[in-house]
Amino acid sequence: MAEYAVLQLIRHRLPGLVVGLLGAGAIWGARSFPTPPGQLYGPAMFPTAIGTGLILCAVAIAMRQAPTTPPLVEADAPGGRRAALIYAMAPALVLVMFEMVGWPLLCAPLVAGLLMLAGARLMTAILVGFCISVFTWVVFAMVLRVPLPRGPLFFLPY
Amino acid sequence: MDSFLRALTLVSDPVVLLTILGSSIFGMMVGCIPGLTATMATVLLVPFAMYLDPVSAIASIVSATAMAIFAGDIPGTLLRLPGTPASAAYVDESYRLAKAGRAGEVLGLNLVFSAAGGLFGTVVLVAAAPMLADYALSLTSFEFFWLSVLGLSCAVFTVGDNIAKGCASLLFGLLLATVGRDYTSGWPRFTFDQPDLLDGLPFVPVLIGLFALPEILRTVRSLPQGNAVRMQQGTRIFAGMGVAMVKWFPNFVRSSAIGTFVGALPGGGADTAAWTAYAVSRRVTKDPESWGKGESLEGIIDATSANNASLAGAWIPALVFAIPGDTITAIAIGVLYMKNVNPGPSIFLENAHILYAVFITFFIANLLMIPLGWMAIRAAVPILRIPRRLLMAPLLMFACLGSYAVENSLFGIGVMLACGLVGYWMEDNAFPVGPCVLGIVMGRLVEENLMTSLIKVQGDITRFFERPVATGLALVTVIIWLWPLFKRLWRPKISVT
Repeated sequence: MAEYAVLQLIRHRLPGLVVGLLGAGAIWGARSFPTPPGQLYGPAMFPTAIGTGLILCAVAIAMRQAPTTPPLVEADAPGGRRAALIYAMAPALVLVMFEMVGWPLLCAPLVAGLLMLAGARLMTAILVGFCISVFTWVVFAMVLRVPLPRGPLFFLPY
Repeated sequence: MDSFLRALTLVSDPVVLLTILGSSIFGMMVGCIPGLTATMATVLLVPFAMYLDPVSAIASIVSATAMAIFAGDIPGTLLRLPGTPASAAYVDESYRLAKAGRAGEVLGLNLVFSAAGGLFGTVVLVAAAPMLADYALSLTSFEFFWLSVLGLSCAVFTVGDNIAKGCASLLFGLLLATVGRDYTSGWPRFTFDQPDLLDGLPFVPVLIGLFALPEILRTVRSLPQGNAVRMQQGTRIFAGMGVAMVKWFPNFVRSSAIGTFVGALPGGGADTAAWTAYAVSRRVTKDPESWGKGESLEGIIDATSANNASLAGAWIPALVFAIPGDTITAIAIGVLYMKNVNPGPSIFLENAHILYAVFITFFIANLLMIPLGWMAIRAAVPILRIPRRLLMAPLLMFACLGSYAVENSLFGIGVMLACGLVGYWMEDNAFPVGPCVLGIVMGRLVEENLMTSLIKVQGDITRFFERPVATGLALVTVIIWLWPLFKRLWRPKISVT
């Protein structure tokens, strides 16, 4: 029980700490911005003011009394947390594989995999993945002329 | 008159009309899906808007949001899940009426009064914006600085009870806006030697990250929605509408006026407008007994008129002072800046045709709402059967592509991912994201006006209060910031007496 209380306290104080560090980082980073000759204020003035404001906010957030009752939290679906984590990693996968694999070959299996994770059937997921891949290629590459990487499918039209 | 005719020609272009139609359908679909907000619809539209001319870009945002706000009423009535937060105020009453077999009637009234509320707000926008702009032309950087600070302060104080977190979110947005070359000296700030950051953080990926990614992750995590209430076959949605329009006309006028006013307040937004109109309606109703029992339509009509009226209201400060009334207009202002159209009083002189085109688009979007809304109500039950979790994978792909497409660079996807994780953490820790976006959009304006004023007065801060309007605005700002303290000092006195 005491361990739970300590965890709650850390959770309650952590946002204040993060905001405070951000403010301190802004002030520290702004120290290196030079003031133009003959002027009283330079590029450091605004970020320094923001950083000071963030530190004041951090103090106010951290000083606020922790709630005595647990907040009402929307219930997660079974496996929802894991699914959300994988969804969050999907853009990172796109970032790494985009140019190497090309958009169409990356999009179709990625959508199918994510759909199955969200509860879709295998065939539906594959079909939707394929359709999304074709649709996004037509809209972005062919209509909007975005040079999406083609990967091994170099014959695809723009 | 020339500008108006030019605007009419621009809007009657088939591409613009098709954009309005397409965006309206898109907004309707997003609004129908519980959990996806009108802001989400706007954010997902922005990458496409980048490829359109300024009129089409703004037309797409205006029509999508108007439709999304109405469409949010559909799952609210049939599922008791508001499609957008703007429908949350009256969702219980709507659902009770739907369960009593009056779903068609409620949705019909929602549709007609939403469209009418939107038109009311547009009339006020058309009348008020040019008058205010005339006056705004006489304002200097001092007044604009205080106006911006006042707008941002209002945004902080309307987001919830934790003002410190709202303020931190706003300051974080302002800090993000400082990334890139400094306005006065050209010195690179917080760029970490990355050439991609010299022109600042890319706006679209930041937006998609802050709004879309957290919403996608939250939807994937949450439990699926329940079953929709069935609508009776052959329900005539518009039956008795004429009588209802006459009967509820005073309510409509009062609530639309409230909605437009709340929408025009920075940080107000459609949901605050709906809650305010609902609360006023409840206080002044002549039939309080029927409320909360699934018998009264009064609160629904009032709130649904107000939330759509607020959309046009939010454009008044956005166009006249470049101070957005809500998150959606903040995004729209960002799009206008990217299109080299600077909002503010000078827009009435330099780009009046774009302004009139926005007005015309508001009228078209609200009129188009009637047929499209009718179709959406008819198609609602099958649409609501699609589990919303299954829509998240395609939306995630659109988010990645939208972030990439703006500058054809993987950097955009990286920024989107980083901002998405930050946005998720912020929401998880009860930091409102709206003020952060306002900060990003208005950061440059605030800093420009501050630096211009400081250079003018050579550091003499007292001259910020020399002009009467600037002093008045500064006073109001100070009162807003001191208000929580006044409240705290006032409370014990009340309890003693």
